[in-house]
Amino acid sequence: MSSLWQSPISRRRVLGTAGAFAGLAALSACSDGSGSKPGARKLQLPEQATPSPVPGQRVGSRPGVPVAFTNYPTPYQTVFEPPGRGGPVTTYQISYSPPPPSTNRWAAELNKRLNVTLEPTLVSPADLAQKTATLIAGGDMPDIFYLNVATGQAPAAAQSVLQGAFTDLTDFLSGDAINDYPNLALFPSYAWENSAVQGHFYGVPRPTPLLQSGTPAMRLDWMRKLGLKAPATADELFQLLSAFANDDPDGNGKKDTWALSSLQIYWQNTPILNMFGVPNNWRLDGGGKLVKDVETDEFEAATEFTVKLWKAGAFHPNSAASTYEQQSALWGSGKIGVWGAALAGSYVRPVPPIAGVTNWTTDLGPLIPPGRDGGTASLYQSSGIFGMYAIPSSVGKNPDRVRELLRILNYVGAPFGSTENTFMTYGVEGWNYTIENGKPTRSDDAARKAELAAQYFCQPTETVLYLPGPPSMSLTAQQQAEKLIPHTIPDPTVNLVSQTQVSKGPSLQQKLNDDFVGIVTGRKPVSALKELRSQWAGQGGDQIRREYEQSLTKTR
Amino acid sequence: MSVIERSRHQSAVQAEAPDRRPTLLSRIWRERWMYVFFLPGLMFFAVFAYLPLLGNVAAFQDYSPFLGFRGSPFVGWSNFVDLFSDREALAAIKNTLVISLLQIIFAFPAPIALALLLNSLLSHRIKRFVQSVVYLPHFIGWVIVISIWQNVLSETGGLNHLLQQVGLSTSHLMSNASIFKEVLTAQVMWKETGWGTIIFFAAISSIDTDLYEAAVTDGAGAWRRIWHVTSPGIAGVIALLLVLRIGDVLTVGFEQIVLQQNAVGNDAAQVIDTFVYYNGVLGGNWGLATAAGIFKGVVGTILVVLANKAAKRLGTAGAF
Amino acid sequence: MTARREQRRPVWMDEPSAVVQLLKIVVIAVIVVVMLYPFLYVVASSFATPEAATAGGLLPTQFSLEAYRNIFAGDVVTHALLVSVGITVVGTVLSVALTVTTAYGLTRTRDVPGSRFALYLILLTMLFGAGIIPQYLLVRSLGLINSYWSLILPGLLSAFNLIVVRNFFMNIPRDILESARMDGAAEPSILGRIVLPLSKPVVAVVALFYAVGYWNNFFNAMLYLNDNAKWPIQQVLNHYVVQGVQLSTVQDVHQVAPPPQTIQMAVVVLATVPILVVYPFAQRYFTQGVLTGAIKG
Repeated sequence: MSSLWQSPISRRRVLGTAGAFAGLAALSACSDGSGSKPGARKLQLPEQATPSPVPGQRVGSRPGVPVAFTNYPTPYQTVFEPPGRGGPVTTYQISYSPPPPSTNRWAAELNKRLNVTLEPTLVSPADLAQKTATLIAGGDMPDIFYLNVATGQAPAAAQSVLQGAFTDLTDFLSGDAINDYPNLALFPSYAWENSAVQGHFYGVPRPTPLLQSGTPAMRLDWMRKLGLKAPATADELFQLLSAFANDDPDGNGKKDTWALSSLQIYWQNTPILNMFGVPNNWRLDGGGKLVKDVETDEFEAATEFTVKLWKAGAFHPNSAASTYEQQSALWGSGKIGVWGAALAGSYVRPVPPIAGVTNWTTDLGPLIPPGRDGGTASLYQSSGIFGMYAIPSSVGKNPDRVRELLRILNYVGAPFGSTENTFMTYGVEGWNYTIENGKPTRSDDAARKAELAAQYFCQPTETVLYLPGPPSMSLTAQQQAEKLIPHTIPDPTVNLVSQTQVSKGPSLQQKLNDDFVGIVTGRKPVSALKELRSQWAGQGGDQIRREYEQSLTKTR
Repeated sequence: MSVIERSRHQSAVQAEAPDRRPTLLSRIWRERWMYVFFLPGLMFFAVFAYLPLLGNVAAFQDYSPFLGFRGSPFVGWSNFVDLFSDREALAAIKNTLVISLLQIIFAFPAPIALALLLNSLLSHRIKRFVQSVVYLPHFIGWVIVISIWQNVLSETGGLNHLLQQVGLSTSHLMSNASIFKEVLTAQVMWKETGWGTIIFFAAISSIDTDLYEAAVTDGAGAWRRIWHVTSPGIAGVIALLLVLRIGDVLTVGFEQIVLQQNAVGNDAAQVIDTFVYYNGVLGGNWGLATAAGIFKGVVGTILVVLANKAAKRLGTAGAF
Repeated sequence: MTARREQRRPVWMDEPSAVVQLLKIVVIAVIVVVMLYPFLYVVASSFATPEAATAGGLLPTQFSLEAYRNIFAGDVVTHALLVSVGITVVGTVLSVALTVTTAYGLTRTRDVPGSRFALYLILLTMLFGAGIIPQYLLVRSLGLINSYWSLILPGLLSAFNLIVVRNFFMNIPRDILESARMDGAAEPSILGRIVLPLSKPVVAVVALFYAVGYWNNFFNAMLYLNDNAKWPIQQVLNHYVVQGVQLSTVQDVHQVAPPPQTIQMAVVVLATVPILVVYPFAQRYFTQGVLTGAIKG
């Protein structure tokens, strides 16, 4: 197929182009998961356990708020019997690390603690889709299988799920069956809820924070220098962002700063969408009908605002094309005023330091988008998971084996601060890490760091706010989250499957993005939105809508 | 047997049966070594190329990895119908052809020109040095290449400052959809021209140097020598590579394009291979992707046959 | 007999004019700079401190071996290098041998019944493929998953290289071969004693192409080698550069910070230097004239 004998498909990088993958946790959620989600009534969620009292932890006052730690707690044990029965356990895991060395003390210790011999197949994020497809096609799938059907990961695998490639774990996990796996019962409800596919559980999710977008870090020192305060309306936000670009906030006499650096519909633009009340990916009306975010009037209003910002020069001129690295460099060299997305990002010391930031605790903070005319914006809920760990249906024929594997996942899914989680995150004490000033500090030796290449499982570590500093901003971040979580809105399609979304979604989204960039930069007028919408609808959007609505009926 | 004895024997045989042509079996036996030579290679292709080709049945199925070839339902020609009614697929085909054409016109001859240029150098040392240098870009992966290009051509890059002195600018070069295809071609030229010269050096070095001496004795100057000695010497290789390149006209690179799609948008940057990837591997629509692959193959075959015929008509040996 | 610095000018190369000389030099200098600079930048960055690497400017100015120390920690990279060298050597030898014999067997398609058809069959494989899943299923059914042979066998013969070699073989003057046949030589000895010595350039080129192909391939490793202890160098290095990517959208909030540029550059250097070492050996063969005087006598 090509003239030199290299493979036709070379390595490619992950290009996630879809919108913030939004979640669906009802905030009125009691642990029975009732609420505005489709399928919620039918599927019984695992009973939510309360975290055991751990010195130094502060639990949020409502579900969805991350638990906060200011210091690393004294590790406490949660699993008292090795989960495995001996013998090999094959796994398929994503890895963000270089490959492990052949003598791997951590892996040996993990095998001992689990009482199995793990045989991991590691895949890099770039190859996830291809490897997932070939493993499923090949038929001999590893016992613990990382399944991530989010856009840009391995979305095509959703089809295999519906075709029965994976064991239905609903009976093993819902209601009080979860109590066999007490650590998994501690997972946030929204994570369980959003991992369900058309009303069934197929895997143990890897939980992530519910609030992951819309609150970028901002240069508070610039804001103070300009004599402005946190914006409370859309107009004030406009003032702030254009001042960042036009009023020399760093005081160096040159007009070399901007507010924003990216022109995609989501990510840095998300706070603006939130401000105008644009729905999270889709809006579900009472009659079971779905409306796409770009089809709403709110989106039009948000787009006009962004156009205004562009005209005022608030965006870096290269915003349409610059890479993540280039933009990160702009932030690092103190040229842009707003950066990032997740709340925690504003509460940690920037490494490497940012030019011009003298005291990060006071100079950096989150930009909380206001409501258009005051109040709070409606922020997006994330999906609350990043993939899940599934068990192939061939393995699922043996329920004892399923329970053994779930016990293993229970071990690796132990909560933050437990001995198990500390081991999974940092390694063997004295070898892979040491405790310095009460904080676990990883060894500098690259080989020892690489020993943990196969550590990525369903740990709930990301849902916890552990920002040791010093000073520790965990409590401040948690308070902020407490204020914001009630105002977040879910994505109604998170449990639904649409084949067209899988195959056409990313390219449709990219087209939307391109046209959006064109409108913002003035190549096309705002009225071109009409064309953008009809193109999207005609080239697959309507099909996706129909399929989602159908999927909805299946989960009712 | 000596030559004479053997030819006597042959004439004798032929005299015995003047109308008898060598039978098929006797011809096969006579050339038995040739079969020993090429049959293993053919076997290799039978196993490693043809067996997987059976998987093309997916083009007629709603194929999914879990159900496999046996379990996936048949859908007849509908994948092909989808392919040709998909606006994006058609745009991808168009883009692919345009980019390919640009590459054939500009990137294909570049190694030839460079090889000829280097060949005309006198100093062996310089020749060797330059030869070793020009193939280096081939080894740098596309990820780094594009990163370097973006750095060099960016707003804050050195080149832009230089050009701004004369009132030009490089900004938006890498994100300009309307010149993206040209930028792609330039990138390919930068990366592959040096490596491409290797095969021409081999061809040039196979030219009998006596021919050059003869040309000089006939009074040919430098340009005429290139025209009459060097070029015919490598014409065969040029024709071969061109025919093969034409057969490959629907393949224009994958990684290079995927890395830049976000900057310029799909309309400019979607080609058949990226379309297949997005729909097939990522999108799970394997049937559609396979149908696109078959389409590529059929078009490529037709073009290769035509190109080969043309090459032969122009006097070269063609590719096959 | 040879003048100083081997500058014995062949009689058929006359002195070009000064203008042309100058022009040639300028063009070549530009080409060299344009092609060399990025590579120099990559190499220099790999030896730089992280700050110097991202500081911009023409070339980094502060140096450190940190990136290499980082990569060579543990035995992963050294082992992977050994694997790659092994695969490349074994693969190249087998591939060249098989390519040469197969190509030779197809040089006289008029005389050898069925060989024309075989040639077409082989050509067809260059035009059609079936994608990763059928390839994977084939390798799996041959029992080669997790075997080193899965890195060699699927790409053992390249139709492109085959056609190139065949083309070169067919350019060898027929009379030489015919007279050898008349003298009673069998095909193997013709191949070995006449054709191959005359084909050193193309064999060298094709060997180089195969070697580079085997060396650079990571895709097969990704698909067929689940056991990461067996990974060749490219696959290992990929996992070092995993996040170092051009993304203008970051929807995936799991974007881990890219590794320091120094590591990425060191990875590039490690991935390419070994094969660069091979090139000069091959270059000898295709820069010398071969057919000088072959026709005479």
